Amino acid sequence: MKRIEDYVHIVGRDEVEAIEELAERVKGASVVHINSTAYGGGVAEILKNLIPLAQSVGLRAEWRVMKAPPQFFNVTKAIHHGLQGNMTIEISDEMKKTYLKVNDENASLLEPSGDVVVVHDYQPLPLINHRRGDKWVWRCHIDTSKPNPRVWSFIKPFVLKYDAAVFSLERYIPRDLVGIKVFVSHPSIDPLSDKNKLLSLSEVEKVLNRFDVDPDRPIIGQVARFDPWKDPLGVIDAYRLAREKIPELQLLLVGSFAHDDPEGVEWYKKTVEYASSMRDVHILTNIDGVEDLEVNAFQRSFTVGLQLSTKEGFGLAVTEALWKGVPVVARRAGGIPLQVIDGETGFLVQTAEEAAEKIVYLVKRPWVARAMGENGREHVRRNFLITRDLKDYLRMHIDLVGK
Amino acid sequence: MKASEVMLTRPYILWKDPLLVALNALAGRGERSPYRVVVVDNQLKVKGTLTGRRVLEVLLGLRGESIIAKRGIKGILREPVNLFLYEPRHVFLEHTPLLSILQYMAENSVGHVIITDDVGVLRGSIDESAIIGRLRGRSFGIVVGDVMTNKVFTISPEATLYEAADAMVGHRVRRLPVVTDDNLVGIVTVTDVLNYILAEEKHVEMLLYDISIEEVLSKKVEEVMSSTVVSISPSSDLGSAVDKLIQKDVSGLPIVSDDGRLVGMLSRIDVLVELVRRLGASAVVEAMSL
Repeated sequence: MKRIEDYVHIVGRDEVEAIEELAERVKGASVVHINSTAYGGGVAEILKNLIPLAQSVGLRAEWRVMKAPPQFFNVTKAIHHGLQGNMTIEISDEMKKTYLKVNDENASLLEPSGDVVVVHDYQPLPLINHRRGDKWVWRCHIDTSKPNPRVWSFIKPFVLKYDAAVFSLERYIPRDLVGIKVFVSHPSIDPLSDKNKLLSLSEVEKVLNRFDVDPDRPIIGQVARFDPWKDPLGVIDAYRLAREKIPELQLLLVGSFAHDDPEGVEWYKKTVEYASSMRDVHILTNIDGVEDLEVNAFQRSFTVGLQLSTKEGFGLAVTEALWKGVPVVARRAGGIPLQVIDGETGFLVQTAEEAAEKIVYLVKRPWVARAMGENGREHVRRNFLITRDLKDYLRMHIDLVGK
Repeated sequence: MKASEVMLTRPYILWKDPLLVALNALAGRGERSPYRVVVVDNQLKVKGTLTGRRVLEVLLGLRGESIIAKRGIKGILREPVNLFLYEPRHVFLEHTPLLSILQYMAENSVGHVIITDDVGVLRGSIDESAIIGRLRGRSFGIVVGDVMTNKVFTISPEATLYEAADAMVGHRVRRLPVVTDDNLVGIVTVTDVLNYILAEEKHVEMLLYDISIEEVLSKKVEEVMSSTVVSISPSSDLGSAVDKLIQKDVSGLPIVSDDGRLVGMLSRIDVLVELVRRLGASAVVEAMSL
């Protein structure tokens, strides 16, 4: 059971008291969060931690997950690509029909009602058609700054039915979204979750041994879904180049298969094939038994974290690595430049060659990596912890249904 | 160059202060009313920031709707600032190199960062004007027309201040060029609207008596706007734009073609982002020190 008091040693007593004071204004309010997957990806990660914490400060918070067949997720993946700016995407009438039908069915299954209903991302977006008098909020977790106009014109009318919309970054707000209350809230990580809590050195070593990763040689890695936007093949290219200078280097590519991501398996296979001729590349997923604790241990073993994504919602895997004192080499995607301050908490790069150069630099200079890692941890403490996210939510709830 | 050398100590307000205090702070009658204030607790630890736009959103009933429904505008103006602020974002420790901060501001198009000590006590802020203010009197070989924003939201001089306020909040901008037949005739800002509310005691009283904000802001834009607008041509060098932005102490410049048509806007953050993109953060910091 999570308790807000447990965060005092991380964020300070006054911060916890500030949260309790805000929570007092919405004590007892029922808040229902709805998304499309219980496992995998940033949204499930946030909800898993946020809901119990919200409950601990007096909200009646719940999390409901929609049920949908694979063809629904093929449609929503297309919507995802379209909203993130893929201009070739077309949503056919048939696809629209599937999208709406599954949402209609889920409206009966989930019975979404509460003082506030928070709908996460585009999969359950049309549930708003079944609203019954409550306050409805759409929480968009992806980059919708330059959406495919055809996809956006299909999605936008649903958004406008909501009472408010929340975006991860100011620049993600579509320019023509007018007539709705908009909040901006950076996502966050929970420092006390299994994925981020402090582990002993022996626990880390045990995990490395279990997956045949050599604890005595430097390790670099990327934690991300297998998906073209995350560029796992580019990570392998960067590793290949870095290994020319540091032959003992090991690479970990850690991911998970989410129910709402039909492309995951295909991209996993591509990645495995691409790395097939290379030794010391470990490609691991939840199927291999990699759960939150293992991800935590892996990230703690990295000398350098990588995030070579070309598109990101926010890049919470970067936040997680920085929190563990690991400097990150990353591309300028989504919220990454808010986290990776070039030369301060890691390096921003464009190409695999540049990434390789920075990897070599950091692996060869552990004192620089350590200093950047410390900067990164402090940067996350000040900006991206769940306690701040909770305050953003509390202020929004006060706005909509406060006493 | 150290961050402390360009850091500004701007007014701050306390998180338990009523919203009315924030309105006063953001619409002060001084020459330079800040668009944004840092909010701190009694130990001066940073709790967040508050902008003029956020206060305007509250006055328009677009924030704090549950409180307004129960206690009206009068009630909400007495609520603590803490309920409406933005959580602290873009916070840096005072020993962070200016180069890193500048790079961060440019990468993220962030116009304002907060500087604290190790325990979160406010030391100051760095904003775009503190950076570009040190780059006056130069020529960069970059043409304004290549940097400006082409799509500009405008308003008619005949519109009411309420309509202008609603448009600024709706489009999430802090200023609107006022145009007649594509010709620039003035500019109206969030600060102008807040100033207008505060300038006459009766306006605040009207709010405190729950007279609708639409009525309080019923005056026409042309009666309140600045009609002596500082503008610049799209063919000017970015250096001239920097000089005007700083000398006239404005956050954005309308870009006007030779025939008087409004063709774009250029803000201080546009300038900062472009200079870092073209010259590199190190060169900008170097130029600031000269």
